[in-house]
Amino acid sequence: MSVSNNAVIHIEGLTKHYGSVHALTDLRLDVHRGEVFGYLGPNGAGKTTTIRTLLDLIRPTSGSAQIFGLDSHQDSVRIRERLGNLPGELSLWNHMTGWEVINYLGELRGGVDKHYVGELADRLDMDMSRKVKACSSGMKRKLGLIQALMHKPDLLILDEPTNGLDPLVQQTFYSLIREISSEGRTVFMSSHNLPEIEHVCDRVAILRGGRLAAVERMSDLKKVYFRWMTLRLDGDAAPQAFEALDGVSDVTAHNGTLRFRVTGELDPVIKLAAQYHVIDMTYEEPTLETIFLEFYGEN
Amino acid sequence: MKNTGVIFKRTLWDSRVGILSWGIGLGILALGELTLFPSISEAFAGMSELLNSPFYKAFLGENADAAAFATPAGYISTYMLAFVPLYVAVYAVMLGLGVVANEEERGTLDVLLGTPIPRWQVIVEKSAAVLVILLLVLLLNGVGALLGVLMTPELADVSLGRVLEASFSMLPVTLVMAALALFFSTVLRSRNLAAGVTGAIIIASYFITNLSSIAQEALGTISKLSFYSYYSPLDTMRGGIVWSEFAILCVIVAALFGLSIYAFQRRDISV
Ligand SMILES: Nc1ncnc2c1ncn2[C@@H]1O[C@H](COP(=O)(O)OP(=O)(O)OP(=O)(O)O)[C@@H](O)[C@H]1O
Ligand SMILES: [Mg+2]
Repeated sequence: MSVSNNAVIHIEGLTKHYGSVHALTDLRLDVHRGEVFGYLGPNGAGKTTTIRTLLDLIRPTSGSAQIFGLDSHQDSVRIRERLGNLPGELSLWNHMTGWEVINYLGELRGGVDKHYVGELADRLDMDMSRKVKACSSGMKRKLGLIQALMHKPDLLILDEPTNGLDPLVQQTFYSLIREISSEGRTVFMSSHNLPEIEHVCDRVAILRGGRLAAVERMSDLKKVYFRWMTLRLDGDAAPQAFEALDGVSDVTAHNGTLRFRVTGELDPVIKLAAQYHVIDMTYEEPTLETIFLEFYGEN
Repeated sequence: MKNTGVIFKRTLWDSRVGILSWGIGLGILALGELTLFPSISEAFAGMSELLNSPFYKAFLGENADAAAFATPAGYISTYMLAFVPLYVAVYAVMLGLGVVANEEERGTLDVLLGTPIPRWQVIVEKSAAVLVILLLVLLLNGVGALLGVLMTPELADVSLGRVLEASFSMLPVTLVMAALALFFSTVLRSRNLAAGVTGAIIIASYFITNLSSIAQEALGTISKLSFYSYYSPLDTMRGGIVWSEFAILCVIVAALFGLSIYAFQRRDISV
């Protein structure tokens, strides 16, 4: 077995066809120990397909994957001992309470650290005595997170973990993820949401139409991370003054409204704008597609 | 393995209401039917022509025999044993679907199989629970029948052991039904489709076997393929469990079980 470098996940030519649907084509990817790895892509890109293959829930048409240097199919049971999993479409046993779900799954793992579960429940503000069928979708998601984290796995595979969580809980989730990565444990998470990935991930892969479009360090991406900003000012502003700023380009002016592109820090723009009477300021997050087009266009 | 028995216990515990309601329900039914023996057998005694009509044969098969019907053994095999497996069929198919189809359809299998447990172990433990559940239900049915015999003076000659044996003899035939539901849910991947196909096979098998008692020539061979043909309540009431037939049904169960594991190990789990 070729245990290349220190890859926790090593994916080699993974391909999955559902009849004529090519869900995944020749995926090659390494995720290293201690990394928080973001897996991004639009709907139907193949994120869930990849994750369910890693968990041996579905079988690849061709190619293979290794986790902890073990074959994802042959050694799946041994892998799952050290792995925590949050499915994208989470479904839990309706007739059980939160604690019953945790105890059941905990028993299947040979025991459960109730103290730690209680701590996670507190931090996520989860009522564990409630029956699953009485839980809102966000509460189910929290329970899903708790069961994925409860045995302190070496690898977490999370399919759209923050989907349906309120902003406060999302923040808690981000700090949990940072703690996990600082303990040298690895996180592989899928998302649609670029700001979220930007917030927690060290590296990010972009999947499009079942093919890997790019894998980059977040810090490199941030260099080209730009937004479109629209400033409405009372009185006419000189577009040239903005144009001259570092990181600002494509300025257009129309009836006191300026629109331009900002790359990198916002600070110079804010300082300059402060010299005017600002009526309104909006900016649009770019889509991932545009960022990546940009990234590969300029390199 | 440190997690052995966890799913087995959970399945039994989750079935506690079903076990009690089906078991007690069938027990009361058996008790009621047996205490009615004197009046019903009398009413049917003069109806030999009717009972021998194809219509009754289709439902009762070889049990539709007025002479046998008037005897305690014939009565018990007809009233209690010919129909009970059909009632239990509903529960047995539900239990069979409960092994993988229900959890797969609901999506809980993704979480269950996220734990370090092989797929075959899920099937083995849940199926072991189904075996125990059906045993308990049939035991409660047998207890009801025993009480019915004890409460009916006209049935004083019936051996109590035979009654329990008769109830136990329903185990393999109901296990076949559960195993069919399991097999089709692993192969067809759709709970509804599996339930439909299993139901159709059970009903077809039931009628083929019964009709073959009047249409030996047309159905003789095909009835050998029908699993219901290996369930003979009348013979069991007269001479005890027919072990050769019992064994054939167990082999069918084992084969379906093995094929289910084989299919389930290899295929994708649906979302
Ligand atoms: N069981 C299946 N049968 C047929 N096609 C499937 C099946 N599962 C997934 N697909 C197809 O495979 C492709 C990839 O799906 P996948 O669920 O992996 O996407 P995703 O990136 O997770 O999308 P989302 O962001 O919507 O969750 C899609 O085109 C989907 O329609
Ligand atoms: Mg998905």
